[in-house]
Amino acid sequence: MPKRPRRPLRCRHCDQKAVINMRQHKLALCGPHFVEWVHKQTERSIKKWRMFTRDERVLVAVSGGKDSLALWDILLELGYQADGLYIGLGIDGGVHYSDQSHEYIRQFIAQRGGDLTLHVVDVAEVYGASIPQAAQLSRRGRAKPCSLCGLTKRHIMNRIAREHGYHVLATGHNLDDEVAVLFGNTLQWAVGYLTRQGPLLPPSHPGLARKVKPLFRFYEREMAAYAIVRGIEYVYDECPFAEGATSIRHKELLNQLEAQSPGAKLHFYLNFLRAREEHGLFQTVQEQIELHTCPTCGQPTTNEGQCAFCRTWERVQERVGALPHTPQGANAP
Amino acid sequence: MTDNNTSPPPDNAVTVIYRKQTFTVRPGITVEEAIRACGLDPVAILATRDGKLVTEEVTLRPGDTLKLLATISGG
Repeated sequence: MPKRPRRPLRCRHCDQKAVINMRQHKLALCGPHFVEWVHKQTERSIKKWRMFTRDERVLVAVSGGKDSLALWDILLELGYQADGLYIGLGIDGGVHYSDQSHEYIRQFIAQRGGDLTLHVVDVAEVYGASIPQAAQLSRRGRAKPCSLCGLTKRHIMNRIAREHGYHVLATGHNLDDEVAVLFGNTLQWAVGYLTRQGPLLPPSHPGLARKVKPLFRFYEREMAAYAIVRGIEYVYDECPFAEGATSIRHKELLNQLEAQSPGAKLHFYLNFLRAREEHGLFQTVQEQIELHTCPTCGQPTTNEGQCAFCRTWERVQERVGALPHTPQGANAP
Repeated sequence: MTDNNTSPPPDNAVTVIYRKQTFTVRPGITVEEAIRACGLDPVAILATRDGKLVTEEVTLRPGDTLKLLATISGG
């Protein structure tokens, strides 16, 4: 006998057809109520963690992906002073990855009337080599440039925030990103990283912006759903260098756990934060970390002398002539 | 479930598109069952029908086209 079609799930608030079912919250919502819920939850996180106020200027790091564009959209909808920062990494991967990403950001701005502020830093133009080129020229990541990419992005984000007087630097990290990092660091017992991970990182140095992750409570699929419901077009293809990344493998493993126990990812992360904030987990380690100032760029570094960014990029610039096509406009870091 | 990249689907079948692959599943199953039939994990997938999000328990009708979106990203 054929199965009778099931009655579609209904929104908890209005009985319209639900567009998303969040099992970890036992909550199904229609499009408009889902958007409202995302806004309320983000506002709650911002206030609870004292991330920023409406008087402060926020710099949102946008990559053209779903999370960062969703974050920018949410902050604008909530009435925060949010500007964007796009870092052109020069990654092609046969799909013009970086160009495509920049195009989605332009589209996002155009859809909102075009009067948003976007800072653009093209790595090859400013530092003399794209990320894949620099990885070839430096000791860092000849096979995979991810570590150099992260190092460079962190430096540029700090620099732009400082130069333009932003109080806060906001990134679109979602719960799956955070949980994958926590899981990886726990497997390694990387205590130094476990000490610092969280939705709010106060400035470690004078003149630096504090770093915040207002989407840290949302699952990755919720952010993708938000982008779809809000009509935000985003770069769907993965970064060509992310293939086989450990963080993706960890996310898949954690999703298997989530399928068996809805809410497992959320509880793992929130209970970690609670253990640290309320029970002093890793507190002694936190007190031991001493930071120094890089004599070249002025940003903090864990060792005395030049920071890893300046050391790496000086090396790249010494060797940049070896590249077949050297971009113009190289500046010292 | 059949991988449909080479032959057109029957008229009453449900077409499932995921990245550059096209699959055919039978009508009457749920979105969740269709996702699993394609070898994917529903926890990390969103489904749209006619450009609109649909939840996992929705029953697929003959001739439906379901587009699946992977939500895992990172590096």
